[in-house]
Amino acid sequence: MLPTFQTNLREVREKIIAIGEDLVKSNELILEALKDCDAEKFSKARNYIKNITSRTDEIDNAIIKILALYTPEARDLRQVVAYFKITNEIARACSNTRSFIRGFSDVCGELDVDTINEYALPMQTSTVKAIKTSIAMISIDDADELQEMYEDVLIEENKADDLYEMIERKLVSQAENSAKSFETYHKMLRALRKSEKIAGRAISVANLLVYIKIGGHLHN
Amino acid sequence: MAVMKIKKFSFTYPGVDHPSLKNITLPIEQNKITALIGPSGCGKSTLLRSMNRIHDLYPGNKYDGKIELLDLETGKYNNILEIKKENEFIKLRQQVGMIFQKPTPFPMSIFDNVAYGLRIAGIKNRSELQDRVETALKGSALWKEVHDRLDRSAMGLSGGQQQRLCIARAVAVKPEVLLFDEPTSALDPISTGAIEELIVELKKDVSIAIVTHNMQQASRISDYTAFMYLGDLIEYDKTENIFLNPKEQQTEDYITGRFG
Repeated sequence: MLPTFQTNLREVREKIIAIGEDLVKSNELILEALKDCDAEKFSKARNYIKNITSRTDEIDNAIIKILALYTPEARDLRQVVAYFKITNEIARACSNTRSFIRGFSDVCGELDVDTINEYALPMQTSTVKAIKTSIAMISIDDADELQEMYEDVLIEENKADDLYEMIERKLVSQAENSAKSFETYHKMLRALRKSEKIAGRAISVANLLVYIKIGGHLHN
Repeated sequence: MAVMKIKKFSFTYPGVDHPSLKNITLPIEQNKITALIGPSGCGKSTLLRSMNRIHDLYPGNKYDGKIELLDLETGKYNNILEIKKENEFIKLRQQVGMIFQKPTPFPMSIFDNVAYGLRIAGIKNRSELQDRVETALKGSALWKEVHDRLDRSAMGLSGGQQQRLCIARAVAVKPEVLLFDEPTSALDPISTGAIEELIVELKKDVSIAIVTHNMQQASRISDYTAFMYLGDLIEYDKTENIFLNPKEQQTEDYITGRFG
């Protein structure tokens, strides 16, 4: 393939990584904010993922241009298609992050520290690890290393899933105690659902990156 | 900035009533690649060949309009359709070189092939000739493959190498414009890739017009694309606009294979 194709594709990859890294920074800051319900940190976390739509539109149009001009094939085609879908996954993860910030900011003050330490922190820690690893995978070319990192993302995503299920069960038990605490836990659960979704996006991104390398059929 | 301005240009072959090109207006931008696409008989090769008056090897052609070539030294445009003298034609073809569909190496050594145009241009000094030949072969991505056999016949090279040799021969005389008439249609995919890469590299130093039937080739390498049909210029625009958002239905039908 022509060097101009490689240059265009590299630019797309760099832009995806830039958005991905902002998503990671945002989620890392959320993790910090959760520890002491710091509204300022929540607000800063939101700033990292501003104007995402215009940035993803730019990437999408660059990808369409690459498809129209270079008609890539085989690995090149997988890469372009995967980048298109990865951009969408990251955009949706940003949207989930915004919802998480909004939802948790509302309920944070009402939760006791133990509850946050027990549920929110470990879950968000797993989410951060999952998304951070999947974004780092974009720059990896070695198939074995990519596979190892994929396993790491999978483990963290499973952890986030399990923690979410535990919170759900806790919520059911709370329902019997008091309506007030049930409502608070329910709000927290709704917010944490977004964190779990972000981890889900991370595994989708990792899947797509493995697809580029290994090939086969595209599946979500 | 345009290195060549084609203005209301019409062309009629000798003994034919109807013009093969009708009222074509088109710029060839400096240090850019302009692709001419269209179905067989649309006039794209005729237009390309008019750009260095190669039709005039045979008499009786009828031209209308202007084809203005930028003189890089004076910054003025000269209408090449006014050229009449033999020495002016030679100068024009040094300024506007041409690469054909089938490689056309001369039956002489690799060195002499590249030095041919330089000798005609009056360069006799052996060391200067050697320098210019080496530079041209390097610029055409052929030096590594032939530097140890420059005195051997060019006819022993592969098709792709012969085509790059022809490009080196054209590049050696430092043209302003290079015209490529389906330069890869007789080559395998590997040689095609090498030539495409070379053409993209060459545009740093020279402006390029290329006729191709390969739509992917036009989209891959060109900056501007002109779509022609039955002697008319239907649409001219940046390549990404032509292949992504063409304005004319005929253009869209052609590039998507729904033509006719």
